[in-house]
Amino acid sequence: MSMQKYIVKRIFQIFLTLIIIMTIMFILFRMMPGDPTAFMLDTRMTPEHKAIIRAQFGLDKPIWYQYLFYLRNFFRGNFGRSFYYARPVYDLVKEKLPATILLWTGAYIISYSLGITLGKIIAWRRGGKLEFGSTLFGLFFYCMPIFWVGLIALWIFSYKFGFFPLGGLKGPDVWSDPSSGMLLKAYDVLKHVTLPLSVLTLAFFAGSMLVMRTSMLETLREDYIMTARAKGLPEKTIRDRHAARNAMLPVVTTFAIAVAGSVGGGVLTETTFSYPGLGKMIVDATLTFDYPLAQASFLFIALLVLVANLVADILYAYLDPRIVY
Amino acid sequence: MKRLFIVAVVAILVASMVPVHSQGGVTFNVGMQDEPKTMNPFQAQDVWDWHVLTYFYEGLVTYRPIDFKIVPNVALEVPEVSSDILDYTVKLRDDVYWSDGKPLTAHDYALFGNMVKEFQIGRYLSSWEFVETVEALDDYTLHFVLSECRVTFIEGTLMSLPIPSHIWEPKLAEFRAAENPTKAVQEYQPVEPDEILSCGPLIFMEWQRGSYVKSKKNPNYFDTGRTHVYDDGTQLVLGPYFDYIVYRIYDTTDAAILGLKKGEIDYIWWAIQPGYVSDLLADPNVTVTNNPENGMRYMAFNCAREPFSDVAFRQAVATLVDRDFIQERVLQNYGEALYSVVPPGNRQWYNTEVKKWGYGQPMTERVPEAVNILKQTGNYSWDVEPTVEEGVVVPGEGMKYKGEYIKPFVILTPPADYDPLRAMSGMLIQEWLKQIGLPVTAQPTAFGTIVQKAMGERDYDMFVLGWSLTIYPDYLRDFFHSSQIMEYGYNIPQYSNPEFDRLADDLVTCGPRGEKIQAAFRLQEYLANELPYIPLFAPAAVEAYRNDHFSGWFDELDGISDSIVYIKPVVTPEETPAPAAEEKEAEGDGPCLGTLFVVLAVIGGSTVYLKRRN
Amino acid sequence: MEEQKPRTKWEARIQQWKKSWEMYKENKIGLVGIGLLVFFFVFAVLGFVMPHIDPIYHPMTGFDPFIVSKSPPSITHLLGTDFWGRDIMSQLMSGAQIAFLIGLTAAVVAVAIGTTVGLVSGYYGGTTDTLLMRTVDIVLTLPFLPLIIVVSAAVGKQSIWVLVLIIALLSWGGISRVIRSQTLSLKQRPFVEAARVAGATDARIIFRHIGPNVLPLSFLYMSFLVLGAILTEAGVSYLGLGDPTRVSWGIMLQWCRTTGSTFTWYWMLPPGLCITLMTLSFYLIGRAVDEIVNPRLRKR
Repeated sequence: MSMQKYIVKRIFQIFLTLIIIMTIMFILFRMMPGDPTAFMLDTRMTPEHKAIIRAQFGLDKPIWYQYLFYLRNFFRGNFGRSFYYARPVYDLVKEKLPATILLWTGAYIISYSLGITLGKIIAWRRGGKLEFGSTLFGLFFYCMPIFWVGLIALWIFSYKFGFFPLGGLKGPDVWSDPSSGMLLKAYDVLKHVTLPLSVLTLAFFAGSMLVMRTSMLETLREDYIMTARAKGLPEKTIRDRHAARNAMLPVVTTFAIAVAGSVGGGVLTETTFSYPGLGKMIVDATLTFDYPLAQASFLFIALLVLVANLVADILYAYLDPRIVY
Repeated sequence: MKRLFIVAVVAILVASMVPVHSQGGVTFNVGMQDEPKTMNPFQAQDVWDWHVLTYFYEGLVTYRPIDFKIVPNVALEVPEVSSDILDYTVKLRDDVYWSDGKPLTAHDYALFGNMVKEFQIGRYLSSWEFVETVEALDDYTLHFVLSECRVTFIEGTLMSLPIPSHIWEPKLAEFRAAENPTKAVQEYQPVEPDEILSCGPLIFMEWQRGSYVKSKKNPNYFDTGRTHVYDDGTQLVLGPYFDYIVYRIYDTTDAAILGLKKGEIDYIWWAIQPGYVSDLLADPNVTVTNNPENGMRYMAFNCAREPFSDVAFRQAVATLVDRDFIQERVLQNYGEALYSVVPPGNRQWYNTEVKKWGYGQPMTERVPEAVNILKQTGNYSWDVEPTVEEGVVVPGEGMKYKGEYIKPFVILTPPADYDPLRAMSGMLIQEWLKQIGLPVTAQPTAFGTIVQKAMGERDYDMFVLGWSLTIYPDYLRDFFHSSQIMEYGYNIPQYSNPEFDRLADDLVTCGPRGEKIQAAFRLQEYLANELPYIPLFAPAAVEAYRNDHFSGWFDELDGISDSIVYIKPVVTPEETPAPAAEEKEAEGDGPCLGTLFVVLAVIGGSTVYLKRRN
Repeated sequence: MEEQKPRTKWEARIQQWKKSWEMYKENKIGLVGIGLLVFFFVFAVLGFVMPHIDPIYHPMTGFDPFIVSKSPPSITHLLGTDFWGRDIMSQLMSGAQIAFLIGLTAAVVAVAIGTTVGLVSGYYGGTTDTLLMRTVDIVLTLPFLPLIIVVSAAVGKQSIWVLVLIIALLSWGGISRVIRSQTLSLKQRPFVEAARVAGATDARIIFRHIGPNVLPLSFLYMSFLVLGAILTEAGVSYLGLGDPTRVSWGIMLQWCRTTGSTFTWYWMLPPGLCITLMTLSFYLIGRAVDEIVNPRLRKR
């Protein structure tokens, strides 16, 4: 099958998958007990008033009507309005997304670079003290609950030593001052993002390091490495140019999936660092029965993951000619 | 490539050297746990919205702090009400202005009421549904016609906020034309200072979504300098005494506590958990306050099911629930064991004389007493009757009601995320009830599920939840009046007592205070004897503030937040700027090291990278 | 084959194990993992004994009558007590039991589903493959938290088994992909062809011929899933969506947070450290086994 045909077929499949996910999501959220009015338990609000509010949310309409309405709107690019914020979901996601992307993409880029570099080195010098040390060290952080280590980091670096702010993304001292320029603002954001970024990097790098190591060890058994050695090329050249370049393949293709998958998964990290990202908003929306917001954000993330998977598959096929579809 | 890195490094260095200009004036920094969601008073619903909005609007009358006496605010006086008068005229002050310079008039109040009625804004309707018409006779005279005089006329309608009619009136046509007018009103999202006007002590400045909100002092605030004098000689003089207020967001109490200790904020505007107290007390610059909250946690029975419908059964359960243990152990004495539905913190309305089941008794006395109460009815028997032998309770077995074994039943308790104290209380109650042989399990259940089962379907045996309450106890009627038994009505236990109903109806109509208080006391007695709810405890509002920046905080029901417009900056007598300078230095240290760290990381990274490339 | 040389089947097995152990011993990282695991196992077993020594060591109801609030380590309470005067050490032990329970159950279920789907999908290919793999896509994109909330509500309570079920149901996707690609390459091998010519049924080929060859990989992933399950439980419980009737490490951290004791080191540090070390032990063992089983990773 040709590549084009494959891609077209996969896009069609993604579309179908998306509809199924939308349906599951719709059912899930309607199955949830309670409704948005449950959270407006005001002692002075009478049941009639609550009925009014339910009608305003469209919750008095039959369920099939709500479902069709929701499908139609989604494909028209109308993601609805959040009950809780009374704002378009699109605006809310757009508002939170940049911060989320900054943190997670940043963390993945740094941890992948670190992981690939370290993995390359420990595979080359197999069985050394460095391997033992870095594997144990990396995995130690890899296995920590992020909220826990984040809290400790906050206590040590932000409170005890005062290197970093205690959370957030924009400090009011800089941002509310009309005289601060772009550079100062950028610096302020950098200062805020450094600690969560470092914690995430520490937590993630072991993953890519170990995949890289395995991949590198496998690559080193290939014939062309033997050839390179036989030619008498310097060790470093063989390691970096010949082996590592090829070994990186499977590592890099997982990158897209990792980033896409993490966009909505960061509620604990974001809460620990008071970071204004998507993850926290989505969990809050779920817990407060804000169906439109929760549904649309989950769909958005699902779409992101599906597309990232497709990209990874295509990338892999493109880079490794041995794969045939 | 190399050049790029150098440029980046230099840029960061330069940026970090630019000193942060602080605006002149005193800033009050307050920590919030979440950002506000909207600045539209018709949509605002959570506390974070109101922490910001509450200082922009002034009601006609208001509660003064500490004793919650009703005092005139924008109205010249508090009208005398009586249940047979349905027509009221209220005169307004003529010296109040919006922050854009336009005068605050009677039209602004009338517009709010009329919009609530026209657009059916659910959360304000209860204060306005009995208001037939509200109109401005002239700029400073309001005229109300009521269909029925309820107490909420003063403690609701007259406390409502005004909205600037010159901003909102032009939008009305647009709202009315919308497919769903109510939604149109609520979805209007003002963000700019010229849309969010204020007639109160503070004026909106800016809102960086997700990060902070900033307001400034209203220099023309009509009420600055107003003095409240109390019986004990205390005087409160209204400010505000700071120039700016910054609401900073800390998602976790942990971060906020660190922020408070570090001096980033002066006050954490939510109740903190008592576990932090010992740590905070060690810091001389932090003061911890402990005030009763106007709320209660309770366990409710399904009075439509047997045996919960039996008063004796409920009394026996109330005897077994060791509320002293809950207070001492679970609450660690931050909060109070509760025996009436009105919490003791609401001093005026709390009846101290209600029956306190099992008060001060150990379990070895509670069990025989509960058994006694049950046996007197003649409906209960046991295979093995619970007894006390040598100071130890021997639990009963095979408990029967009217000759049949009592079927296993469930206490729904909220999950731990919602409130660990409630989940813990539920577990303890389960153990206590087992002492007399009741087959009970406490089951942690999602909040939404409890609400649906209890309020909607009425499909439950017992559950544990809580209420936040109002000062005027009209909730006594809502929670237990038989008219509220319908689905999603507030009478969740489905308690029904005609005498109670009549008295409760009395409570909510206008009339002399003294009579109302008597009615409320009687209602509390009914409830304490018949126990549709077993009140468990009234929580405490434990709060923390920095004492080295502002002083003049005062305690009241629900905490110290009303102090914000009364607190004064701390001024050291000899050298005013000293503490500030010291702090600057301390704060300056951090960013410097932080910069160094970042710069080193960038330099290190680029060196490694470049080395590799060569 | 094995029955020829040694006298009995069991002796052969023992010999095999001894050989593997010899190889395993070479692996320092693996030894660290085994050491940690044994420690936690003993720790968990001790948890069953403690309440019998004295009821104040019951993790849930052991309110010490003399200590009414949190207290630092002492002789009766080696790691101190929590906010309500209960022994932290006993709670940690109970947490170890729960961690084993959750980790192993969730991982076994997920691996069983994942391996089967992967084998079937890879072996049959075509429409079956497409359908199964798109199901995997869906499973991988389903949001975890709402699912927990909804299923807990449907069951009517927040229970540890709901958590296990959902962790298992949402985490088999990854394995099935790996097993599928392994199967794809294995089914091209001559021995599969030979079996088919000999008239073996599809089921037999899948489970008797290809299955055993992917099993090591499944076990490897199982050790990683244990890690995922334990960490997920901790996170979910920390958010307050866990089962508060059982003392797990996540619930301990949640109690610590919701009572405002985050800065009480003797309460806050141990559960987190336990989570880290226990998940670490599974990961290290998984890696060590991988090194032994996977010939491509053996030393030259």
